[in-house]
Parts: sequence; structure tokens; C-alpha cells
Amino acid sequence: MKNHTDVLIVSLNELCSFEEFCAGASQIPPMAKLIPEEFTSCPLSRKRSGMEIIMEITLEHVTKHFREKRGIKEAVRDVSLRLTPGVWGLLGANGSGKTTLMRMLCGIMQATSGCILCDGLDISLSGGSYRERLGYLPQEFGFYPEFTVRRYLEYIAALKGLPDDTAKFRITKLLTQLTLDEVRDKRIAKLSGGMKRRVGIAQALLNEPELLILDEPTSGLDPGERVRFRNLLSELSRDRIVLISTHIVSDVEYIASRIAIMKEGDIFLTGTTPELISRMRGQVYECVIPPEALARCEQNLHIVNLRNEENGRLRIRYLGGPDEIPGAVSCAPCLEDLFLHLFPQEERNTVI
Amino acid sequence: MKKVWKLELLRILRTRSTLLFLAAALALSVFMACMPVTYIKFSYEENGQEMTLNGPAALAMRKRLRSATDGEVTPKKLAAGLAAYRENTARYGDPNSKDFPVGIYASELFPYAALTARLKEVMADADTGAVPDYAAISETDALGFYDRCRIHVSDLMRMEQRDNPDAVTLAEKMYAQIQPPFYYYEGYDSNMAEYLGLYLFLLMLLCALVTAPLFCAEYQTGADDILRSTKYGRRTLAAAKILSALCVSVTLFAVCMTVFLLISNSIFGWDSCRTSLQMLFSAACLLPVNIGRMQVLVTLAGLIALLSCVSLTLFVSAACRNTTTATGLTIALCLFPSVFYMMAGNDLAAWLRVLLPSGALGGTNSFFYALTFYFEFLKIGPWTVWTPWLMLAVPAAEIPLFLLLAARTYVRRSL
Repeated sequence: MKNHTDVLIVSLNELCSFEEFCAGASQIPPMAKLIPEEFTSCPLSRKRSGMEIIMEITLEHVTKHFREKRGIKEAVRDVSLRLTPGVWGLLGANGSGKTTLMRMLCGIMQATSGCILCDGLDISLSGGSYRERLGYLPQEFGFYPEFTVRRYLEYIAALKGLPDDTAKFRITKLLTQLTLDEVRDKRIAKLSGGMKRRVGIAQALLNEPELLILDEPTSGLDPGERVRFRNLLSELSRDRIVLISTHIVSDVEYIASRIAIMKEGDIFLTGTTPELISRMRGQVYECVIPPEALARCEQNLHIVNLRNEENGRLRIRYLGGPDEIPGAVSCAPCLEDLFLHLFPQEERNTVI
Repeated sequence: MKKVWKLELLRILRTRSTLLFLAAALALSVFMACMPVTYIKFSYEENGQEMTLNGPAALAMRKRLRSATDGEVTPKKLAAGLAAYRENTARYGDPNSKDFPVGIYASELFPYAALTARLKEVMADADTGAVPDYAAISETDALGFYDRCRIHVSDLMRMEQRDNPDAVTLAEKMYAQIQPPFYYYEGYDSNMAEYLGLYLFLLMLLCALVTAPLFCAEYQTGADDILRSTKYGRRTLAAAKILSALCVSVTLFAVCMTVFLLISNSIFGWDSCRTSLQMLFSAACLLPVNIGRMQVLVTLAGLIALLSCVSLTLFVSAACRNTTTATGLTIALCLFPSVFYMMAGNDLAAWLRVLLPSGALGGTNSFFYALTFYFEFLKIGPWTVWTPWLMLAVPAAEIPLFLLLAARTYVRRSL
């Protein structure tokens, strides 16, 4: 006997193909909002009748205000974005609204105005059926100090509504995948920063989420762990949306299929890495200067990198024009140049 | 919901601090039930030598000496006690002096002492409240003891409730419900009753400390964001957490109080639970109950206060950002009614102990004292209500209020 969801899918299939349905999902929110949760409790992306619907998240004019002592702060300002499967990098300086946006995407916070749709359904109305498809690693990964790695994962798996045998299987798999096997019975509080972060990632992946949201996932990881983590994310991004918020440019430069740059609560730019980098073409230069000229250069130029040469001179990389230093040569820009161009105050804080 | 509740319950019970507090509560139940008996001392004479017994041996000796007078408190027993007092004071002098023979006191006066003390109390002066000397009490007074009790209650109320004649009328009505005779069985004493009140207060404090970090610890560590983004969501989580805290508190209370009462009553003797409240604390006690029922009432008041306090703590925890603030506030809220009542002792303090969830437990502010020693009434508009009833009703009404506030605060947090 068909359940309500099947009936809904079948009746929609009679009208249009799945691809058409997916593409048009964002255009039918008024109708979708009328569909009660019981009809949508099965994730739409699961394979049905041999076809698969790919998840799509749409942010429509999302704004978030906070009341503060000094007045109202606009943390996120009229953000509209369409997220499709792949790795999405959300770049921005500290305080640019990334975490607020991510918390709204997770349903932890509600937008002051605008809405977030998952396959055309408002996430605030979808409730548990949306959260079932979600994996979230917050910026500060909190855990109960008494828990061992295994027990913590069992606890989260139960909260995610996984049956016991599925939970057991996935926990074993993730512990191996994230090289946490040896510490499975250790208390999380006793683990290193990198291991704790991996436990955090494991909990986010327990339900095999279609939408994986990671807020500053590499903070506290050493360079080797960061590389391994990036590779893992690339592997995971198949058939799911992975949204990574960071101010560490290299975390997303090579693995993100698309990057959104946030500034002062607004999505300032979106595009692929090459598209974004191309904006800096002709604006990045390198030259060699004597050490005594450095102070003057620092005053007048936006230096993004500085290196000591063997002959005691300094090689500087700066953002600007060719005329600013005679002999300066144009060089290939990178995402970091764009980031530093957009957030000059981050220059000293950025970890590359 | 059931699954989340079970998970949360297990998580709370596996937390080290919870286990520590639970173990402390259980250990205290044994310790505090056993302590009061150690305070009992009794001196008697054997082969011309003064002997002193301590603890359970002293209690056993007291029980043996009073076995003849135990049971119904009859005017005849009172008259006999008065006669024995007069006869022996005439022969040996003041029983309070060092020269009074210990053996005579133990064999002749002690068996009646608990009864004659109440007789002396009810013969207090109507205007000053001063108790007379035994010499001023006649056999006729002893034979009319139960009539004197009613007169004494009226006198006492007129003296203490000068501005509230309704309270006097209410007290007289309440006392009229008490059907004589009273009963007295040696054993359970006022120290034990005070320890019951004190233990209830400690139990409430421990339960509040178990509850204090429930919500705010997750805010503090950031675990909250992960939990809220899981399948069941914030509402189910709030309900599961609240239910778990209440379950832990009620179970702990039930286990610890059962242990406490079983031990204490076994030590002091179950028959002493049949002693009338009026014979142990004051003849003017307004409730027609014996010690056993008093234990039930005080325990019930303790459970209500504990649940109310736990509910308030849950609200505090949901509203605070970190465990230090929540724990500090919880301790302050638990202690405040006791400290304020002790320091101020005015109408405001009387109201605060009624209004604050922890007001029914603690020191002299507690329900136990309101029931046995102080005869207070509070005016609510045109009505006069006996304070102990308010101390049961108000915290009971606050339980759903604080729970709703806690759930609402948690659910709406971060939104």
C-alpha cells in the first residue's frame, strides 16, 4: 500500500518529470507550504522508482536582526542564494554573518524576514523531516565531558533517530574513515584538538546527511590534518551539499565547487574559484625592494606577502597598479588576494 | 519522545557530578537518620551510683521507664504526674538542682515529665504567656487538661494575632477539630523532627544542583547547537530534559526519604509515630495529626518545595549562559528564604517564604516549624489563611508555571 508521500510523488510525476519538479521546486513554495509534514516525512532525495531527486536549498531574501544595547544589528542582510550539491565555501571575515547564516540554515535560528526553502518547502515548517537530512558541525564543538567517543556518537545517532543496528554500522565505518578507531573508548575531553574536531565531523555525518554544514571546521587542526580533512570533504561532497564556512582561504580554494563571499551580512560575491580569481586579474604585482623602502611601501601599498631574498632585499606582493612601483611585474592572482582585497583588516589574522 | 527522554535520563545519570550528588544524598539519608539518636543521654542510679547512658542505650532506658505511662494521655495520668512531682520536690527539693537524687528523678518524675510539661504549658498566663510553677497547678487543673488546651489556644492566638481577629476564630475552629485524648509514646523526639526538616532542605539543594547545569551547560559548551539540529528538535528536547530532571529528582527523593524514614523510625520506634503532635511540640498545635502523619505532611511539603525549586532551577538554567551563574543563582534562591526569614522575620519575610519555591524548607522558615512551633496566619484580601496551607499550595501552583517558563525560554533561545 502506498503511503502519503508516495501518492504525492506519483501525482507530481504524472504532471512533470522529477528533474522538472526539482528545477521548479523553488517556484512552488505557496503550494508546498500547504502540504502537511506527515506527507513529507520521507526525504525527497531518496531513490524512488529508480529516480533520485537532488536536494536544493534556496535562501530567499533572508535577513536577521539582533537587538543590542546600542540598537538593532543587522547580522545577515537580504541574502538570496541557491545551494545545489557540491562543496560550497562561505568565505568572510570574522563577524561577517557566516555563523548566523549557517545557524539559520540549520533551523537553530529563525530569519527576521525572508525564508529558507529545502526542495521548495520552508524549513521552519518541515521540522524533523528537514533536520533528518542535515548534518551540522558548529564553530565550537560542544560535547559532554563524561562521554567517550563511541558513547557520544551512539547518543547523537539516537537523537538523529537512527535505528540501533544502522547506528552501530555507521559509527564503526566513520571511526575507521576518520581514523578514530584507536580512541573510540577514550573520553572526548582527553583527545587532542584535531581528534575532537574529527569526532565533531563524525557526528555530523552519522545520518549520511544530504546537507552538511560545517562552521570553521578546520580551526585547531594542524596543516596535515587540514589537508586530510579537505580530501575527506571532497569525497563526501558527492550527491550532497557541503557548506563550509571559513576565513581560511585555502580550506575552500581547491575543493569548493562554488564560493560565496560574505561581507557585513551580505553575500558580496558568488562564483567558482576561477571566476572569483579572475576579478583580481591585473591587480596583483610583485617586485623586489631594498629593506629601507619597506616602511614607505607599507604606507602606500596594500602588501599581501613579503619574503626575504638571499641578497638581503625584499620581495613584496601587493594589490594595486603597475605604476605604483617601477619594475613591478603583474602576477597570477589567487583567492587569497581577492580575500585580502575585500577584507584588508584581515590581513594580519588570516591563516593561509 | 520516549526515546529522547530515555537518552537524556541516562545521560544525566551517567554524569559524574550527578552521581556524586546522588551518592551524597543517599549517604546523608543514612547519616542524618542515625545522628539524632546519638544526642540522647540519660542518667540514672544503679547500686547507689550515678550511671549515664548515651545513644540507643539511653533511648532504650527512656522507653523502659516510660512504658507505664505510654499510650493515652488521661487526666488521671497527668494528676498522678503532678502529685509525684509535688511529693518529690517536697522531699528532695528542686529537681533542677544538682542535689536532687538522679535515681528518684529517673524512677518517679521522668515517666510523667513529657505529660506534665504539656500541663504546665497550657496553664500559661493568658496575658503574659508565662508558664506557672508546678506548685501553682492544682489537681483540678490536671483533670481539666483538655479544656485548658482549648482555652490556652484561644489565649495564645489573642496574644499573637492582636490585629487579626479572624485568625483567632480560624485557629479556634481548627483546634475544635482535634478530638481528645492525646497519645504519647516515648521515642521520636524534636531533634529527629528537626533533622527531617534539615534533610529535606539538603535534598532539595542537591536536586537543584543536579538540575542547574541541564540547559546552560550545553549553551556553554556549544553542544546545544548540535542537539537542536537533530531530528527531534528543540521542543522534544525541552520536554525530555524537563521530564528527566523531574524523574531524577522524584526518584532520588522517594529513595532517600524512604531510607531516611525507615532508619529513623526503626531507631526511635514505630510506636512513637502514634504520639499526638500536641504532646511532642506544643499543646497548641492546630492539626489533629500524630507524628507519623506529621512526617507524611512534612515530606509532602518537602516534595512540593523540591519540585518547585527544581522547576525554578530549570528556568534559571534555561535562561543563564553558563553553569557558574546558574549554580550560583540556584544556591542563592535556595538559601534566600531561610536567611531572610532569620534576619528580617517580618511580614515580607513571611510572604517570601510562601512565595519562593524553597521557602517551605530550611531553618525556622520551614513548613515543619510553621506546623509545630509558630502559629502564623497570612491575610489575602478579606481571607485569613493558615500559613502552612499556603506553603503547600503556592509552590505546588508554581511548578507548572516555572516548567512552562523553562520550556519556553529554552525553545525560544537563539531564535
